[in-house]
Amino acid sequence: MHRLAFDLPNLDIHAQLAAQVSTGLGGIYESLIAQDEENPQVLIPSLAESWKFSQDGKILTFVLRKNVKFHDGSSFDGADAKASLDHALDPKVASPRAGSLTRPFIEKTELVDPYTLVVHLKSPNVAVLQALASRWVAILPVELIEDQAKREQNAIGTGPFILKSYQKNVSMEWVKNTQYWNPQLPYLDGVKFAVIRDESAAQAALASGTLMSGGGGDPENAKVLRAAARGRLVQKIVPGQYPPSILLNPDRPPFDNPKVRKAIFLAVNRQDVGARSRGNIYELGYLHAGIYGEYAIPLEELLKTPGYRQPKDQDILEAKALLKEAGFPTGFNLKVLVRNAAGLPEDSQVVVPQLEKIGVVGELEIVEATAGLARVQSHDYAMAIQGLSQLTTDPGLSMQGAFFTNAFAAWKSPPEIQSLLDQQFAATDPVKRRELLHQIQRYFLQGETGIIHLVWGSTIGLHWDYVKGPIDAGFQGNPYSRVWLDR
Amino acid sequence: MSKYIIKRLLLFIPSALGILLVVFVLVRLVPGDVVAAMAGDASVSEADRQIIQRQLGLDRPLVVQFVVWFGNVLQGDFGQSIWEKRPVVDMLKERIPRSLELTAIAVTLGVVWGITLGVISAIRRRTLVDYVVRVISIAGISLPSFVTGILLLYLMLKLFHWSPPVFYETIWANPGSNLVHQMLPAMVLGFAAAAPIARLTRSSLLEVIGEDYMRTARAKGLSERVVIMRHALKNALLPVITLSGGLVAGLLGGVVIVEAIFVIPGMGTGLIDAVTQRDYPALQAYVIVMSLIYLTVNLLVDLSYGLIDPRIRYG
Repeated sequence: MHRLAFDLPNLDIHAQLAAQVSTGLGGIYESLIAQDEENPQVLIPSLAESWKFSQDGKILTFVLRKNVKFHDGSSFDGADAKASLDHALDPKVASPRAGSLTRPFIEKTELVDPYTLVVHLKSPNVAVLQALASRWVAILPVELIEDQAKREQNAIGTGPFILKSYQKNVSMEWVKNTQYWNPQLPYLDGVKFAVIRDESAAQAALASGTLMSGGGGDPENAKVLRAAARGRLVQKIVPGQYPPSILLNPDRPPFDNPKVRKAIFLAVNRQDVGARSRGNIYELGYLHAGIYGEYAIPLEELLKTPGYRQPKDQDILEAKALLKEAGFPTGFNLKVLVRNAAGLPEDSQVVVPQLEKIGVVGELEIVEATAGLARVQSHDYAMAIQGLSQLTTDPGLSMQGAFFTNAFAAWKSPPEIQSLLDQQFAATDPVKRRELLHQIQRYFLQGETGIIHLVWGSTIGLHWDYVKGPIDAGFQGNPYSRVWLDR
Repeated sequence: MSKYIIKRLLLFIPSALGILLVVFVLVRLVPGDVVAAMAGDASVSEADRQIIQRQLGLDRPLVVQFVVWFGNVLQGDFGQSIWEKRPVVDMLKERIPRSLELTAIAVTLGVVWGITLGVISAIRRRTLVDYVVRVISIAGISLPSFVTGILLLYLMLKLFHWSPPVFYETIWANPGSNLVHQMLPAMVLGFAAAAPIARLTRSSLLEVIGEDYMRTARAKGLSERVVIMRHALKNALLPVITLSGGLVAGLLGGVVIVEAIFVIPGMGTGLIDAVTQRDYPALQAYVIVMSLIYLTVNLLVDLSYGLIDPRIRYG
């Protein structure tokens, strides 16, 4: 039994944004390709048995799996795949996750025969496979695609589990799909989810054994829970998906001056934020090295970069000099917009006092989460502290979503950096792609964009010792197909 | 009496209209909308935002939205939930009984505990028992329900390695599971309600005990139990009933937090969801229903005075 932190708005996966949807529907729907549950960087066949790029990299041909049944007994074929992709691509549908992942790359789809689907790309792109492997780009039967009301009330996929029951705001239950195309899977007979909003209630349910897995909060809290469970909870560090960042609005003084933006970048002590606000389990950098591997700037290089150096003396000196050059020799006062969500107030209480070392005195303006989102979205701030979602396992897509197309940041990418982003999408050579992504990160590390990444705050995931296999939900939700119980 | 009831019922209409208007305007004054709530920390492009707002009917002028909604409410239709995409009435039908059941158990516990403790405290005045009851009462008044709730949750886990159920089942589907699920939150709310009742019962009873007719009752040779239960308590209960009515309204506020802690999908959690999700139709419906319950309870309390004390006449 597992937890849904809040209920799904409805079952239409193409219309959703909330991360809980990929958890609640993770075992029901499948995409053309999938990420390996143990290593999400590795792509494996799913509803497509194989795929290949054309010589010019602009055509992607999928050979679809035969003898696959939807949960309602109907057969899967290329018409379903085409209808699903076309639906996600349709601008009128405004699919916020499935569409935003695929629309930038895909021109159109074409069905060559019932089991061969051709995807025409706008330009050669290596990230499109990770986009198509996202659980959000789910393949639904044509019948659901054509009927919105039915799509919102029913989840009919091809996945390893069938939706057995769903009681709004209470529970969801999956049962094993005995007709699943991979007869080895799933291992479990079923999975139950309880909708539990309150963190204390969820943690009590985890420690008492009612839930099999869940979040443990910070290290101290996890220790208490493990003790309450008589030491039988296994601990795992789960990378955060919403790295908190300082956003400076370049359209508002004093941040219209790049020297002021850079001064703030230099003055921030990220390691202090990680230690005091994120329980000392964190990663540094604009890309998470634990997730994106070599595509992230190495830690050794980061620690030598101004802004990341320890001790901070030199950074503070340089920051003060920049403020003096910008006409603020004694600093200035400002309001800092902080959403009351996901550890952001705690981060702000560490980071804002740090700025006083260069004379920048911030007054925290902590506002309710949804109201704060509206203000950040409309750039109604001089300085804000906001999580920048990186809900994909492709480094280019991640950077694009977090920094280039992100509506929270007022920064506009200059053409040369946009060009680097486009080039890395087209780079089929991993070494070249890595170099291009490093160039983009180094651009951000110059500190003038006004997007100042603090840390990737990790969380502690806990599960009972008898639960085996890939239990963590990760970025994409968990299909639970390889999870088993040793008892 | 019937004239008074009709007058009070007629007063419901302007109150309800005022609530409808205030609720509609207030929820829209709060910054943020449902698209932002759906996105969470993910951002949505402006173009997509506009399309989604149009699909949800949020792009229409506010006056148009109000007129359409008001017309529907008059016909008992609270509209469609923006978030759950289903009639709000269906959501109310699911959630109201759960919260009313919790409130009913909590009020029962609160009144029984409160009066019992108040009586014990009064007749054992200035003894250790009295002091203990008064300390408990002060704790009940001082501690917010969410603190008591979390403490109780922790205590159950620590002592019995047990936590309350997380799957809510209705009393009709599984009475045992339902009562186990409702008992802890009802105790938390009942504790909060019992504290002021105990204090008021004690002071009210102490006042009555000093009256001449009490001495007369004792002089007639009645047992102390009969004197207290039949003569003193009946007269001491009038202010307690007034207070209990107000407490029901207080408990409706308390369920908002307690339901979340004890995983009860009632009106309280529904209200929290509707606020955070900016689900305007659902939020409006919850506030209206809660307000009507509050008005009804107040009316019933007023009417009950006459039943308890025949000297009271309604103008």
